[in-house]
Amino acid sequence: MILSLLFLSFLVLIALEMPIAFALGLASASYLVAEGRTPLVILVQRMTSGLDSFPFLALPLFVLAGHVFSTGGIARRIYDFARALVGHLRGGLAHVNVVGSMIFAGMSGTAQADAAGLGVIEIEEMKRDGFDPAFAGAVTATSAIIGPIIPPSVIMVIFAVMTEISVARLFLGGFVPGILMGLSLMAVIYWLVVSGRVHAPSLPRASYAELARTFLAAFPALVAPIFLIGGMLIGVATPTELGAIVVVYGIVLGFVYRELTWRSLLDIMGRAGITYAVLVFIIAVAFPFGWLVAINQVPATLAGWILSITTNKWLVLACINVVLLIAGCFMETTAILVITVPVFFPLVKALGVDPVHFGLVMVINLLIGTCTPPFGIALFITMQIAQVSFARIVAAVLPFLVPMLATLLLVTYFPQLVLFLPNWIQP
Amino acid sequence: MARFLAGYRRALDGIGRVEWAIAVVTMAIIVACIFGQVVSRYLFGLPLVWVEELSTYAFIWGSFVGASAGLKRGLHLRIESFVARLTASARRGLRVVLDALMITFCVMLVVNGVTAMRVFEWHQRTIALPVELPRYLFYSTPLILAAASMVLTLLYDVLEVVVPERATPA
Repeated sequence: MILSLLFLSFLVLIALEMPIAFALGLASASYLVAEGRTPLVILVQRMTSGLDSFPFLALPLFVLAGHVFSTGGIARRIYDFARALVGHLRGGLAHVNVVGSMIFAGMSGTAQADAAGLGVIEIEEMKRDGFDPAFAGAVTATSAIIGPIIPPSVIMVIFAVMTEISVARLFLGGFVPGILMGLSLMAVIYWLVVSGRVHAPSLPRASYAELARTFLAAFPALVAPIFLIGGMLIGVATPTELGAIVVVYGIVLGFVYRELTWRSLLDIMGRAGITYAVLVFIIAVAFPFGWLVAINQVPATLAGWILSITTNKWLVLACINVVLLIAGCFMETTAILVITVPVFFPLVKALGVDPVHFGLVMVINLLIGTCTPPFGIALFITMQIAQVSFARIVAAVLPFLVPMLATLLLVTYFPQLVLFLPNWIQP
Repeated sequence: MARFLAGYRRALDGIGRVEWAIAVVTMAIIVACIFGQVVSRYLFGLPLVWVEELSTYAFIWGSFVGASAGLKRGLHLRIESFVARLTASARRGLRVVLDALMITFCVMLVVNGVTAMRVFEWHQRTIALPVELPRYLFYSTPLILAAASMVLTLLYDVLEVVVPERATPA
């Protein structure tokens, strides 16, 4: 009875547009007051001790990496290289957009960094080339979510810390699904253009000299993902340490390219600092919330219900996917993650689903949620850059939900797509 | 009252600048510590044990203080629902109510943060740092300071709504 207070007060508060972190905190506090046996101090203790976790340090580092690498010059060079590589395909700059994001995904850990950094260049160029701005925004939003699927990934770090699994294994698992997502987006772009649904000017094929020139110009930036992924493949350093290496490398590169000054570096560090802090504050407040959910046997009760319907793990995964997709339409990614992981994870683990496989299913599912109305953070960012209305960008993004959901289905039902790489590296 | 509000605003801006500086410094500590640790291990064969602890504490400080700075800039994520469709006065009323609830939460954090500090963390010490320091400096202290700063930010927001604007020139 009191437990419903926990969920009801949370839902009412977020419906009234209170920031999610405060709604979570107030819900937990009011539950503790109504229950009357547990002192409120436990809330503070869970918040601080929850953050005392070394793997969490990957969060500020990968947020900062995204900010450093999206400073003008580096993103520009990656874009030019992608343009020389695939600009001549039918669909032109739309393919460039996806390929550029796939490359950038190897150094950035959040979809926001991708959409707001590289996204500005991508949308401007597509508009100048005669694309519909809404279409340009939709392609940018959907390709931006490849960023946190291909490692590094902030959301994967959160999942790994919450479930106490290896960040490196989860990162490696994201590789194939991320590339799959990119290729399926390109297939839909191709189909939209060939069938005449979208007008897309084609570019002349770049000469080999042009390709080589843009490759060399982008090469120093391309080294960053090679460091990172190579480092994880060989296992010389933890993902957190690789994050620090990539940040320092990006800063050095920024100074060499003369894109960074001490002043702008301090500014970037402050902005990245606040960006991750706002995210971590939600996580901190979610610790006591998740704890209350757990001691009230909510995960066990829910598991009991689901298991009374079916014990088939594929059906259970399908149910979880549907629940998460619906939640993703209305809620912010981190908030869903921190609330649902304690509920779903024990259940699927008991059914024999590999934790890394489940991690990828959740991550991809929640990222699709950033591109779905009414609440889609990737759409909010790109509609502002493209300067189109929300209704128009939603209409333009609809065809792309098909390849995204198809990738989710493939990843859910073919675990080998995820597990092949981590099992091969660390058997 | 208008002069009081202007002074309040300046004080908040000052606190905001300090918070920004803390965000930058903690970020720098995290990068320097972890990068330094890799360099030290591979170049000199010397793993630095206390670096992990120091950078984790910088992370906790940066998280809470940065969250407070984020509140001043309106960066905390919220979900847009129907509030934009309400009348202006209803929106103002709702804003005051939500602010009051959030102030309650932050005051609760301050009060219980002090309890946690005095009752539970008073005798705990850091583990691996070269200098042994009380644990509360890195656990409850940043939370108390950030929550107190959030109270000030939210109170200003309430005053902005409640105090009638008289500063408009005649």
